[in-house]
Order: sequence, then structure tokens, then C-alpha cells
Amino acid sequence: MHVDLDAFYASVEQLRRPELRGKPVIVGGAGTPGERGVVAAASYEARPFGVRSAMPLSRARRLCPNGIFVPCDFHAYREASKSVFAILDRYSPIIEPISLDEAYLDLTGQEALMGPPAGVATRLRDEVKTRSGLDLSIGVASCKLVAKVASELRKPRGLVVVRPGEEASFLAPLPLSRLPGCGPATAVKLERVGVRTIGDLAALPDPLLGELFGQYGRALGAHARGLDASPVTPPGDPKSISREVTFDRDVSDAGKVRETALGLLQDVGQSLRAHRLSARTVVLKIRYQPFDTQSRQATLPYPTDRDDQLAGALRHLLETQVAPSRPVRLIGAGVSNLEACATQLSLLESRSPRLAMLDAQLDQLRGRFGEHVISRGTAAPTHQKDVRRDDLGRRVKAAKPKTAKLTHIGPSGEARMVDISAKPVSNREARARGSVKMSQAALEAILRGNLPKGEVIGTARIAGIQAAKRTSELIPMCHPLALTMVDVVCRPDRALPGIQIESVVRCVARTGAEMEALTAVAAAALTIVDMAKSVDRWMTIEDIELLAKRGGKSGDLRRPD
Amino acid sequence: MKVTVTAGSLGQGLQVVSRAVSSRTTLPILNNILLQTTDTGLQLTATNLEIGIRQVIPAEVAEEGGITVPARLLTDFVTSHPDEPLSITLDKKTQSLALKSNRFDASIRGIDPADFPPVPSGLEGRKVKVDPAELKDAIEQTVIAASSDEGRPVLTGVYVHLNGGKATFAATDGHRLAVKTMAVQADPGEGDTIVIPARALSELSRILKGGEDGIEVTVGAQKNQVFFKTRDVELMSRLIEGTYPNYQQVIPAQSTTTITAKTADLLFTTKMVSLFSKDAANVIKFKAEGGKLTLTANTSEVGQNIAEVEAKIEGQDLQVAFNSKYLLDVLAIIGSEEVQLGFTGPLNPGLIKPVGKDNYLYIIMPVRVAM
Repeated sequence: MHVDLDAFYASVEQLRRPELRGKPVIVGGAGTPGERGVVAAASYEARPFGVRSAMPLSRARRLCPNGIFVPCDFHAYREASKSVFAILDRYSPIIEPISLDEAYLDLTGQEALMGPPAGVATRLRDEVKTRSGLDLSIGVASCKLVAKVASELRKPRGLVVVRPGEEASFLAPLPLSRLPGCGPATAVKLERVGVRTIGDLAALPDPLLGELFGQYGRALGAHARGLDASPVTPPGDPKSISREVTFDRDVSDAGKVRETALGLLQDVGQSLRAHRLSARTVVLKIRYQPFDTQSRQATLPYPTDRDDQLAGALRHLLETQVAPSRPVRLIGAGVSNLEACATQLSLLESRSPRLAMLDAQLDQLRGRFGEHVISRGTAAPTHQKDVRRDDLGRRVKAAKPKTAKLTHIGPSGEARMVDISAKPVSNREARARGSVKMSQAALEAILRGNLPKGEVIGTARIAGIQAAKRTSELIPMCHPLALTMVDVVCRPDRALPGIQIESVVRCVARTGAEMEALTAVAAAALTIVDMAKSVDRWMTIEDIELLAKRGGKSGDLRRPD
Repeated sequence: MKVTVTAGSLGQGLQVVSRAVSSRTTLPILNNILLQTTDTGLQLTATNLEIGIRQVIPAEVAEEGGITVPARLLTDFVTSHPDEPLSITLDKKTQSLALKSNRFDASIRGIDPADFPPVPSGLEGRKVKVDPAELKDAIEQTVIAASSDEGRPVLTGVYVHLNGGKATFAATDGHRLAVKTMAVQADPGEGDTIVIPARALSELSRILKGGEDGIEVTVGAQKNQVFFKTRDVELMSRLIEGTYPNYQQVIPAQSTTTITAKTADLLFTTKMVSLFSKDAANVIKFKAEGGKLTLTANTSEVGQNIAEVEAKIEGQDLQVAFNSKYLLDVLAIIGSEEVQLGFTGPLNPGLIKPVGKDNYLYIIMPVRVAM
């Protein structure tokens, strides 16, 4: 049995927005006018205008000027698909999902339990309609191929049953275009030898088909006779996982390409972990204009499911394999050579269990609050437009931010990252200070520069600058910011005695850099402690505080002292 | 140059020094072996610039001289030759080496020895005397843990710490660590630490047959070379620069589960079980429960093997997974009748020690799997 949801994306949109019902709805792209992209689905109301799936949006707009163009919302489609598959699950233990809206069910041997297949199909169609509101077309036959042809014959809400033994006679009168695997090029070739229907094709002797199309010709002939031995195969462990995205406009900025690729890889990593698999190979796919697609891969020394290790390999590929000057049309990231998750832990890198835990926590956060709630500082959030998915990712709906007194705490007390998309971008600056108090001897040692670990003040400065840039990796709910300036000054203070630290951080962003300035001071102070602790074990880090901030909604503020 | 040797002794010498001939080189002369006459016989030298090996074989020298000839051809010719006298003569004009015996009259084209990179025959620096058998053990028990990943060169070496009358060898590839201590007779001086390429040590251990007198080791004063001298053979190696990680901090101080088993039994069982993990990253699971030790490996598309090993288990129950290769490596060379494995949990390093000896330890980092 083949089941296919009718105009799935468009139907989901019509279901959740009643005002769209009965109107020509065209789903595709991100919803911005004039963008590149293709029609992902068109409602039955739009089809008389000639709008079809995979047609460029611009063409659809010309054909159907009154159509309502809706951006893709895969999140909603996945949710809807999930509820339909939950119903399918009760009708057969053997289900092969083809996409979000299409699946094969094996009903073999269930007649005694469920009744005749035609009845099962009717019940299934009605149950899906009442429970999810979506229309389903069903084809029932003894093999997958004929079932698929049958389900597509009377869309929408079609139910076609082909009895065993009637496969060939069912297919015979249909035009060639109905036969899966018989595309326009094949059809033209066949028409030249006088073949117009599937029946004509079935009548051709195998040797002739072999001559015309090689090995493939024989398979085509068998299909035309309604013979298809392929079994309904439930999805096993994936052989590879990948995500790719086509840019709205070709991108020449290597930084953006990198960020996008790393963002995609983060999705891949999440899916990998959801499958409890590890990957040995990281794959980078890149398409330059016009049709020059390259695929590069790197093999890791041992399989991993950790974001940072996968990202390291991908970064290396990006650095060594991508022509820096060429505009990029499409970028994809993926993993292959998958194995059951067995991550070799590292002896020397004591962070490894904690980094794995970080991945797990990030996955959990994204699972609970939606994918955009948190991502690594280096990865661009992967907006859903045009992202092709190759598995049925299943995630819960994002929690809506509500006003609470503590902005980083949600209504039920869970931590969350504040959505700042709506805030205006402005020039920001933040200043912070702190000090490290130590023994006179330690201060003198630092000033003389004869500590075993080397020059303290310079190292502390660099540590502060580095830490400011990584604040979002350290502080869970902190947004990643592209800082435009960071400076850290460490001044020895003999009166303290110790070292005074001050930081300045600037950025052009939607949110302030106070956390970055404070982090810079903290990291510089810790570096001083680390480097000088052999001289003075009991140093104190004191008074880390914000001095001033500029820019943003609350304007310029100075510490009231 | 004109010498007479027996094919047998020349063949043995060639097999020893040709270990230093590099197989992939951009410098053609490094494919060659240098032959030079000395007071005592014929000296054979080969180098790949990282290590150099030299051996003098007994020979009757009628005329002094030297030449370099392709190692492969010379070695193949001489080792296949019956153990009979060979007369070797250099034709200086054509730079070709004639090898004559009862049956064969061969000549090999050579390259002028002036182009051969110098391989020093001695080194200024601190000298240490070691027992060859103990050194062989120390090398074999540590090089297994050295890394083969050139991305982090320092881990491709064995860290050697000389302190007083003791030498500590340590090697790690980031997933396992081997540490061995042995006694030495060293010139007085401060503690020395060097990192010797694992390959150089493997070659040295291959040369050491046991039964030799003490080996003299010289650590170059510049700390960039080390020189080993046995009665017949000299081996020179460059040292690896860089800071060796502080391996001591990963050695677990105690364990919450200890397993004691017969080495041979555990090795055999691990081998049998790991046949079923070849396609699953060699992962093998250890389960110590209710006083029983069970080893399991399974690969979804291959099958599985479960085995019980006779062992004494003390402490908490435990499930832990390893790369079986790491375990097989150590069990094959640990050299004690019984081994003790100590753990503090499935994600923490496991400690393996020979029972009854205190001079060796091996640490394996587990594999994180869904149990």
C-alpha cells in the first residue's frame, strides 16, 4: 500500500490558517518577494493555474498572480507528519517512509487481523482525515511500484485498489509519464519506436529494451508489466547524514560560508547523536556557480559524535579545499562511515567527557525550545528555508518567550536565551574592572618577569581578549557577538599590592557587550593567578564589576560611585 | 677499495643497517648503503636523516676505499647468495661495485660517498650504561602506546627521563599510556628528559638480540641527538623537540574495582571475543558483576561473542568498554603471569599492572558506548 498526503505543505498551512482554505496557496522559499527558490507545494486550488512543485517561485508568481505565497515552515510540517505516521504505525508493523508526506506500508499477512486491504485503506484514510485534518491518497497493490502509480491516479483523496494479477492490465492504458523511472528523455526515445502507453512498453521484447536502454531497459520492461520485487524496507541506520543549503544570493564571504557550513554540521551532529552513531568521515559539499559541485571529505583518526571534533575536520576542509575567491551557491555538510556510537575517550584532553556533555545539553535545549534557542558561537543558525532534510527530524515546538523579571529565566523557571532579533543594531561599548591581590613578593616576581611560566602581564592581556571573544561559549545564555574591539589593560598596583585589570569591549550588535567585558577581566585575573601561583598560593581576585556601558535601549550608563 | 667477506656476515649486517634506509625519500642517495673499509673490516652505514645505523662486519681489506650502492639490490643479492666468500672491488672510474663469487660476476652502479649525509660515530654528552635485555623490554613495553599520528610529533616518541640510577620510559597516543622504569648506570648530573622517536627505539630493540654486553647510550649535549652503541652496532637518532604532556596526572591514584586474571587466559579470550568487533571500532565490553568477568563484542551485521574469564574481582560492579587492540597490545608484552586491572568507572582511565612487579603500568582510556 502506498500512501501520499495530498498537497501536504499547502494543506498544513490551510489547516492552521483557516483564512487560506479554498484559496490558491503556494508554499516555497522563505517568503521574501523576488527571492530565488522553488515551489515546495501548491494547494489544489493553485494547480489549475499550472503551478507545480519544483517550479521556480518567479514562474509560479506569473502563472498565478493571485496566489498566496507562504514560506516553508518545516517545523510545522514535521510535526504534522509525525502525527500522521503515528496513525500509520497502527496499521502495519512494516513501514517505509519515503518523505514527510509519503510512505509504503506492507499489509501482507494481515488480512485475517485487519480485513481486506481495500477496507483497511478506507479506514486509514478516514482516520487520518478526522484526526489530523489532512487528505490522503492511497494505492493498494501487490507491489510497491503499482501501488505508487495507483495512489497518484486519482489525487486528491483517491483510493485505488489493484487486485493481484491485474497489475499489467491496470498499467497498460496509462501514459508513459505515469510510470516511475520513465522520465521525459526516456519517453521521447520510446515514442520514437511507437510506444505511447505503459501497455505498449510492456509489449516490447526484453532484448529490444536492452538494446535501447541497457540494463535499465529490462527493469523498465518489468515495471511496465507490473513486476517489482523490491520489499517494503523500514528505515535502518542511516549510511550518511547531511544537510545542505542554497544561498539566496551567491556568497563570496568565506566567513559566511564557514559559519553556514558549521551551522549545518551542528544539525548533522545532533541527528548523529539522536541515532546513537559516530562518524569517521566528514564531508563538505560546495557548489560554485554555475554547475560546478565539489565534494571533499576528511577522515578522522577515530569515529566521533562530538561537535567540536567534527567541526575541526570541517574547518580544515574549508581552509584547504575551498577556493577563497569563488562565489558559493550551495554549501553542505555531512558525515559518513557511520558506526554504532563508541567514542574513544581521550587521556590527555581532560575536557572530552565534558565536551560530550555540552553537546548533549545543547541537543536537549534545542530539542526543548526549538533549534534557534542556542548554537555555538561559530555556527550560523540554520534558518529553515531551503534546507533539505534527509530524515524525519522530530522536535517539539519552540517555547514562546514571555516577559519575566529575570529575562534569562522562562515562565517555568527554565533557563533560556532571549530572542534579540527584533532589537535594533547599535554601537555598543562596555568597560569593566577587577583586581588580583597578592603578596609583595609575588608582585615583584611578576614585575621582574622571572616566573617559571613566563611573562605574566602580556599573557593575561591576551587571555582576556581571547576570553571576551568566547564569552558565548562559556556563559550559557549569552549571545555570540562579533566584537569589533577588545582591549585589556593590566596595571601593577604596589599599594594593593597586586594588579588592576580593566577591559574595554566594542561591538555593533543587537545586544550589549557587558558580559564580554566582565569575562575578559575574569580570564585575565585567572591567568595572573595561574602563572604566579607558584610564588603566592593565596592570591585573591576582587571586585570584578562593570564600570560603564554605552549604546542600546537603556542608553549610556556609568557605575554610580 | 678491495675486500673479501662472506656473504653470510655481509647479509646479516645489511639486514641490520638497511632498516634505516628510507622507503620514500626525495634524496636518491638515501636509498643507498654506504660501504667503507676500516681497520677491523667493512663498515656499513644507512640513514634516513632521522635515524642512522652502522655496523662493522669482519672482512679482509686489500685496498681501502668507499662507495654507496642501492640498499635493496645489494641486500637482495647478498642475502640470496649462498654463504660463500664474496670478493668486492670498486671500479673508481665508473663508480661501480663488482661482486664476484664462484658462480656470479655482478656489478652494481653506485654513487660517490662524498654525497652521503654524515652519520657521526659518537657524540659529546652524558653517557649512560644499560642492560640490553632490560632495555629491550622497556622499549617493547612502551612503544606500543606511542602515536603514529604525525599531527602531534611529540607523541610519536617515547619520553625518557633519566634521574639518578633510574630511567623512566613513557609513551602515549592520547588513548593509552605505558610507563616503564628500569635501572641504569649514569654519569652523574641533573635529571635529563628527552623524547626519542618510537621508530628508532623499535629498530634498536630489533637489533638487540640479548646476550650483548652493556649498551652505551649518549644523550647529545645539544639535546637533539641520542647515540646507542652495542658491541657491533651503532644507532644514532635525532630527538623530538617539544613539550611532552604531563602524563603523570592521568595515572589514577586508586581504583574502585580491581580485576586480577591470568595474562594468557585474558589475552586469549580477548582475542577470541574481539574477532566480533572488527567492524565496530574494535569495541569490547567488560562486565564485572557478582564476582564474574564477562567479555562481550557484537556487531549488528556480524554477530556476537560472549565469554567468561576466570578472574578475581574486588570492589564495585562495573561495565566498561575498550578498544580491544589497546588491551591485546599490552597483554602480549606485559610479561607477567597475572595482570591486575583497576577501574574507577566506565568513563575514567583504567590501570593495568603486572602482578608482582612495580616497574610497569599501562593505562587505557575507555570507549563511551550505550551499555
